[in-house]
Amino acid sequence: MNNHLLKIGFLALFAFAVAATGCRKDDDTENEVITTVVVHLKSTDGTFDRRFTWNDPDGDGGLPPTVEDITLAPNKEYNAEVHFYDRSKSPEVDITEEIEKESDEHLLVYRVSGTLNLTITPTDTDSKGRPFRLKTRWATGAASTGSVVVTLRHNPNKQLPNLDQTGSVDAEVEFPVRIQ
Amino acid sequence: MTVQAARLWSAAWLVFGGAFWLKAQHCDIPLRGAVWNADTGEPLPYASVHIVGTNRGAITDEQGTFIIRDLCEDSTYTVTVSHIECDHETQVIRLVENKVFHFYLHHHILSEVVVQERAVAPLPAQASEALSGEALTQRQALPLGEVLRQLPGVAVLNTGTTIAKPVIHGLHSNRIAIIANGVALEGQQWGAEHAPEVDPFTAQRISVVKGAAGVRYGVGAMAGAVVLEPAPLRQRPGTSGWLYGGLNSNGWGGTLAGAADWKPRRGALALRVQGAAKRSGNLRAPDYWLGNTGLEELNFSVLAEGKTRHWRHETALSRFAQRIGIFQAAHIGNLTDLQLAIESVTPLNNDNRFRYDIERPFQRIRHYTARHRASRPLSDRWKFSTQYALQFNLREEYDVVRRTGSAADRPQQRFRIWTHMLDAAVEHAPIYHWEGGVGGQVLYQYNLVGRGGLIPDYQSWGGSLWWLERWRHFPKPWELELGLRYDYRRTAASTTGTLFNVDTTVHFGGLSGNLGVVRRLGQYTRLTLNTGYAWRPPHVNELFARGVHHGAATYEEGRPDLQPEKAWNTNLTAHCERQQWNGTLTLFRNQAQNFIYLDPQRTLVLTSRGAFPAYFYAQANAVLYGADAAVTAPVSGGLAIEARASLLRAYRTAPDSAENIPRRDWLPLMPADRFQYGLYWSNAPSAGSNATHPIPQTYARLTGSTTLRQMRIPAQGLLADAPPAFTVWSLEIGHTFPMRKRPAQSLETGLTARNLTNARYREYLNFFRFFADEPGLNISLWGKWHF
Repeated sequence: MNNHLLKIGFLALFAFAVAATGCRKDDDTENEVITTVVVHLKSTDGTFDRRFTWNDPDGDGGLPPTVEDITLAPNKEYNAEVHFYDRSKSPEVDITEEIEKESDEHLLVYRVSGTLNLTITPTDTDSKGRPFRLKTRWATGAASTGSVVVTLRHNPNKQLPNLDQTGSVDAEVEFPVRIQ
Repeated sequence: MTVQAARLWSAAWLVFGGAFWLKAQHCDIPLRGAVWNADTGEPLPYASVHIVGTNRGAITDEQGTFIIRDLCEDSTYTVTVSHIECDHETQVIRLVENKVFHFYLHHHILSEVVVQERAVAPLPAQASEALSGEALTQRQALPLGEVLRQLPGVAVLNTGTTIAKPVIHGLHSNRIAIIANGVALEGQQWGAEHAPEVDPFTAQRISVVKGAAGVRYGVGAMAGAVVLEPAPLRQRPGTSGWLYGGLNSNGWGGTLAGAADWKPRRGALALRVQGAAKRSGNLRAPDYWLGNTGLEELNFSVLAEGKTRHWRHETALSRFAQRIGIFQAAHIGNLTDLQLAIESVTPLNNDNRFRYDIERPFQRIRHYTARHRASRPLSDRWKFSTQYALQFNLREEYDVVRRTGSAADRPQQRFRIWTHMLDAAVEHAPIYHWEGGVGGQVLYQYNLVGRGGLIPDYQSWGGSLWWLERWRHFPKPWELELGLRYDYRRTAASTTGTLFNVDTTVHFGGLSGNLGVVRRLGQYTRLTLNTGYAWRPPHVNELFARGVHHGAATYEEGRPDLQPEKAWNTNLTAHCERQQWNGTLTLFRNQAQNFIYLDPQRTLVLTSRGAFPAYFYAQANAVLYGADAAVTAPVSGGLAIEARASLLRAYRTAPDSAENIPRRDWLPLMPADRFQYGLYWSNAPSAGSNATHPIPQTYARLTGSTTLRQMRIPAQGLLADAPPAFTVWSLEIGHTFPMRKRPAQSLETGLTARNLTNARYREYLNFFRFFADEPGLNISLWGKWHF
């Protein structure tokens, strides 16, 4: 009886070992990396249409990102649209569609720094009529230089007055801007 | 002497089994032993052990152990073991040095005393602490780290309220070993936010070995080890077990645990089935709820023991499964978020309400262990044993993501690690007073990390050989322990991800050694000096990690050319125990060479979420030294004063003393000095007094714990500024109801209140100290029914 039970014990151990080891080896983790931010600027008079890219295809660390300087003409209005991509994968993933689909859970924040004569005003709202700012209008003033920091916030509380500081940062990139 | 009297004496000699033969022999051997409840397998405190015909005797302590000193070697004694509501029963034993005598008593049928002799496992000469009995039962429903928090020299590294890692003398993670039921736990210990995957309910005794313990517990045990031992299985046929139920006011949590032991009437098989389930919702700090701090846990284990003619087999299977919420407000995207969070008095983005649901971010953990041990005597003195253990550890981390179809239920990080370990050892009973053994281990590890993980996939092969001996010759007040071990580890790391590529093999080998000396001073005092040399290979994360550490908002990068870390650790312990007085003082110094740490860089790493301060793994020499002390002093009538202190200083020398960086710098995240003080009252007599006494009925313990502000922090780096000093009070009350009709059964109940004053405080050793206060008052009510 003893040996019998011991054998059962061994079999159980073996079965357990197989069960523990025989797990799926496929990789189904999901990691979304925003490697690339594109600001698409079109002047309202139709004379200017350019994309400016902030790009870090190897992700955090490694090679430093490359950034294109934005050069704009003074006293003009531009329609701006921001796009987000994951270029660590092939083919690249356009994350902008997801952001637009869940516009109520996202918010873009623009910070103009330096002596830059630039005013950014939103031209869109989210699915609930609250700020979203994926699409904006950039109005330039006199010639000047500085930069624009574009931040994508996730799960902000859009009911609060300090909504720009709520939620967590999904992306934050800085573009040098020159108005000349 | 009259003839009659002489006859009477001869009769007495016969009755007493021929005790007190006068021989030319050493008569200062102690009789060491333990009394167990054969029905529950638990130790039996306050049992009286008496040597018939003498006035010599002892009462067992909380762990059921006793010692009667100054007896004669190779003599036969008649020993009476008794417990309340039982008749005195006797058993004849033959006293041999270095034997521990185990007495298994049935609560109600004492006539069937079972004596089992076992060779003593030499006590480590190292400083150690242990938790068992009521002190363990009071905390058993907590995670392992929190269970050990009160012990001198032990601190806890927290990531929020749900993740706790034990810290021994300032070191943790890869620098300590966790031994659960004879198997070294292998998971993702490298991560500060990866709590050990063990259930304290599986243990009857948890000990903490302080100081380098590499010889005994393998590479990695540079700072010590945590050892969990289950209760012994039933020795006699029958069934027994316990059932535990507990409720917590903070988090409205509940715990249900139990174990059932069975030994059939025929055959040499004994079985135990054990399990524990926990559920808890959001915890509350004094001023607000801590969003998403719920917990779910479901653990099982099976233990079996069997004997064939020569072999003794032991099989253990266990499963640990946990889902733990991570405080939502601690989820930050970048440095700006962190700055905003630090500046805010109450947590930003906090889901300030009570709920049980666990949302992202959370961790899902599974740990399976299967182990088989077989041993057989080779001769009177020699014993062979072998063990195979398989462990599988799964760790999934679910981060906050945009909720799209495909990503909705997937984790962002997944680690899977399989570990096979095969051990073999030959041990011997004393030969010329030397007792010990030699052994070896082979290990294979396969670690699979999902795409985008912080560390690469890797495979490890390893082997080790050890030799451990201890010299004891009782009348001499000296004891000696010597140990030597060689370990080899080879690791092949590679990544399948696209973000960074590693494909390399590293290998390390090294010796560990240990020398311990014990000196007894009189009957009550013991001095122990232990010096050990231990090493550990740099872990894969230290070699190859690359990425942003969320929560800390730092960018961390490994260094592939790191050298093994080595430590020379010396402990001096004085232990004194006299009547109800009890005091221990440990002084320690740990000198580490090539100590691996995260070195703050002066550059920022630009990522798509903004700039992060960079921390690169670096090596330097480090020194950690300090003292632990504990005193128990009786006042009167079962009341005693308890006091404990843990002090630590830890610094490193800078490898290249660049401008502004001092030559010496404090190590980050070291426990601040801590003082504990309180009162303990019990209506039970303490061990040491004679006569038969009832089992403990009621006890109460009030403890205050003051942690000073950590002033010794690194000159540079983000993790600066420790929170101010704080004091937390706790109260533990316990009462045991004996079952009058069924003496083998009892109901143990308790009421525990932690953070009694609902104090608002933050811990330096909690990564989430930037975001929220520690939990407030928690009252738990529990009951444990032994059947």
